[in-house]
Amino acid sequence: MKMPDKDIPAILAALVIAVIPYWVRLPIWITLWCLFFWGYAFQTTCRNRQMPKPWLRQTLIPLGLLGVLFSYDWALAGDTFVGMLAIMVSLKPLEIRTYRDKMITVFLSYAVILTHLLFDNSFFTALHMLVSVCITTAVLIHINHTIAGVSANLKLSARIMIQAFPLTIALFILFPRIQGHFWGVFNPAAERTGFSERLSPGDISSLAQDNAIAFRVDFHGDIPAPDHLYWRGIVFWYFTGQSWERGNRAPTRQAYFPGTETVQYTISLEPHHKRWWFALDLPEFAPRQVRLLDDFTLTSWRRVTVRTVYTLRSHRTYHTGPLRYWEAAALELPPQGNPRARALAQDWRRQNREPEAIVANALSFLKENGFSYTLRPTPLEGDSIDDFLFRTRNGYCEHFASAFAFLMRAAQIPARIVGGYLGGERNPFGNYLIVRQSDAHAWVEVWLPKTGWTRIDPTSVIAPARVQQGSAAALPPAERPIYLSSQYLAALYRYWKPVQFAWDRANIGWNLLVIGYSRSQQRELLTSGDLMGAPIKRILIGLLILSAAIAMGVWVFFRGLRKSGPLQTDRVQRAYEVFCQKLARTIRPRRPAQGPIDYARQVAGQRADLAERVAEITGLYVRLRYGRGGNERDEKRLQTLVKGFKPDKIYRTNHPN
Amino acid sequence: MQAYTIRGKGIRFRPTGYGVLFGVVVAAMTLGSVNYNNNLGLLLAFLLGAMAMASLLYTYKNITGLQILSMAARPVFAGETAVYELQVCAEALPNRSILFSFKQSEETCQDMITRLPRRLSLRIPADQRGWHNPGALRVETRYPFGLFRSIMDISLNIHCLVYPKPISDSFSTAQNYALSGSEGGKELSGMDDFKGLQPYLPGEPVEHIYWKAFSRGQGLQIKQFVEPAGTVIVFDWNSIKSADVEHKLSRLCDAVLKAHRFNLFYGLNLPGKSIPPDVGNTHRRNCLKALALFQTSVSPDIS
Repeated sequence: MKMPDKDIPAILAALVIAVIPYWVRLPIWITLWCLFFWGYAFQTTCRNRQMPKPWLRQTLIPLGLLGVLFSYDWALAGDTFVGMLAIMVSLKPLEIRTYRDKMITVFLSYAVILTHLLFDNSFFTALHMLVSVCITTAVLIHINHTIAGVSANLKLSARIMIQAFPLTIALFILFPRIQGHFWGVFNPAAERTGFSERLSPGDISSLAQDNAIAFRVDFHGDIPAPDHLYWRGIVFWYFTGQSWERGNRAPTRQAYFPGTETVQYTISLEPHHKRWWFALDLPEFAPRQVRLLDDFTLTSWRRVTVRTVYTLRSHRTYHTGPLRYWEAAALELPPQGNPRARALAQDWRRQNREPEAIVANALSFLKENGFSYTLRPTPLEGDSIDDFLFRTRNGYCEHFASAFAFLMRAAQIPARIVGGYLGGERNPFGNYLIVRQSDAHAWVEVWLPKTGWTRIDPTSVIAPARVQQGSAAALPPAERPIYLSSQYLAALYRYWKPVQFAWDRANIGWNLLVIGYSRSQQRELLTSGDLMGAPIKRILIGLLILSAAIAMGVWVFFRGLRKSGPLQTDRVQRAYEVFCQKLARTIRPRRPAQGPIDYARQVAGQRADLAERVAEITGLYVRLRYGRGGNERDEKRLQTLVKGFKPDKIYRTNHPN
Repeated sequence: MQAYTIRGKGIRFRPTGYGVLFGVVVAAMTLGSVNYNNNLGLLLAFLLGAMAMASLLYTYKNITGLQILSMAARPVFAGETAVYELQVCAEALPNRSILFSFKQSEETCQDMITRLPRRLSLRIPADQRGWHNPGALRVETRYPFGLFRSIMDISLNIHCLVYPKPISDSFSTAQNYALSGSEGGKELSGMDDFKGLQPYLPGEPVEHIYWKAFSRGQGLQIKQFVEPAGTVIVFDWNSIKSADVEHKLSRLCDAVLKAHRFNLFYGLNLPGKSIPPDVGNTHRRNCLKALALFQTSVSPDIS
């Protein structure tokens, strides 16, 4: 009769722990599928049944893979691969028979851990990674060394991990970083929301529900007032009648006349898989790898696929100079459509010569005609601008910006729409702003002779709270998120908020220290200790760090060895070892080749008072060890006897011989 | 008995196939992480690599300080399995999952060793009579990850005496033997003369144990037979008609075994060596050894 394979439950445990973070990412059926087959493998092992025949597995794998493809609409995106990996990993335990299968499965478990890191780099993920690696490694040890117990394997795994840590850190610091990719990036998180090249109704309202973080900002100095926090990302120039488009922009060649007020800040941008970077007002310079465009927005050469940290200085006051000929695009409108809006704008134009007055007219028109801010606007029909301005009169920033820019252009004032974020939440634990997707906003810039391109936010007229307190506060009560509308939940939310902030702070530290570590930082680190100016110094410092790390690793290693106690063998062996140690201390150690019975006889010869106890312990040991097994009672008895055995004490004997 | 303690010198390190695969996995992880600019992935790859490096130190440390005591192997007949007994104990540290094998044989013995001495038996088929040399003892460990193995080959200089394979043939007839003595030509019937019972002493032929007495609880006793007075048999090399040396040796071996079993007074006459007639275990051993080493060139110094 074959014994049930005790390794399989351990391997299953490692897989379950490695796959946990997937469960929020994958469709529920894959999770259930994994649990079902792992449960099945576990049951089969425990009951010592035969694993299913290979053909079953060979049919299930294509079935599962087809299921994954179907769930993701046949798209080969990052999540699809994760789903496929999950299917493979779910069925692998069903074929575990040999040592080879076990080793491969453990390696698969490491691959699963790595795959998750491509999606999420948070501090929590890192913690999970450490725990998961520790457990998987313990299973690896278990496969190669089947006798030791679970806790001994885990301890050893953790110890090796700690010993490996200095070398890991040294490698991490010193390993050359390459900017760029060897091959294409499949955008594991491409599904993330963000701005697109086109602004059409509905885009931002879907963002407003998304609490994900867009970027974080650390100000070098005080955080400006909320109504100054307009994060410009993308400028829309062309109106097609239905939507606004960005068009191709050229790098800046434009002179501008900066004022004295500047603000410096560092942004850590979450990957949004587009090219634009966000900045306040007018950035003074573009960071490396990034262009400053003629509308003062920033685009990078590559899509932002990893968290990117950059520092900028922006002018808060400036004059952008005269209107360039290519900026006449800011006056273009489709030849037809929206006659009422055009008529209204031309009316304003006839009344006023000054563009500032026309802007004021338009703003007061919005203010006084019962417009309201909502994320669930009435659908627009026909000429969308007319329909919004004269019929529905409810909408969100996009509607207001779109209508306002149209009116301005109809009144011969150059206008463009800017997409970006407004505001941000200050983290009291870290004095930085968290800007979320729900802070997405659109506003208008008009060109005025006195100030150049000037920001006008029509939404602020209708819903001033949007500027001061964010989008949630500006909404009518029925549309607010549930945690703000309910009294009870709002109180709970107030307690939850600091926890969230503290957690974000920990993440930021983690990001700056580990995730954001780049080639430039590496160079900075390796050259900062460079006092002599000679390049050889840098190499020396690097080598010093490495050798120190290795020396530390070796030291920890040997210290760990010295401290290692008796091996976790079976209980009988351990009890007898303790017994021998006790005797070795007081009477005499056992010779390496001496058998237990002989040893007992010798000890008894020296100490007659101990003879009886020694004989009983030795007898029990011999029976348990060399006899036909033994029962649990004998084992318990041996343990208690050894525990109470005190050879340093003289016993009174009943048999005086 | 020979003792050997493994020190650091001479230990070789090799990655196992899984070690190579693991290296490929870690390299792929590193490349992928660099490609995606993913520092956390890089951290994981380096962690796994560094752990593998640390495990190399463990495999080294795992077999150093191991004491190996080899015992003399009991002689066997050709075609049987030679059993080499080793006693292994760790000097100070607990050593784990160590594989013992002889380089020449597939037979291995894996054991987890504690501070207590452990006895291991390694078995190798012995096909040729003479001194059997198992070759170097290979001590190998893959502990703890199975990614690296450290190997130590130890030449223990241990040997096992292999007697010729006994072949029973139609030589039980008297004319095949050159019988000599005071009353030459007497048959082997004298052994049936029962003399009495004596307490059993270890080493005496088991066939002579008086099992009936044992079952009555009277302890082990053996039936003592009258020694066939004056019957002396000398097995002579020349009296066997065969061209094959090995075959002749095998038949002589069989004869010696039978004569011993029947408690006869026998001698052996080989070209270049003759053993005068005697009886008992030592005599049997001497005869068999002479047959085993007949015309063998290798004669290792064995104490």
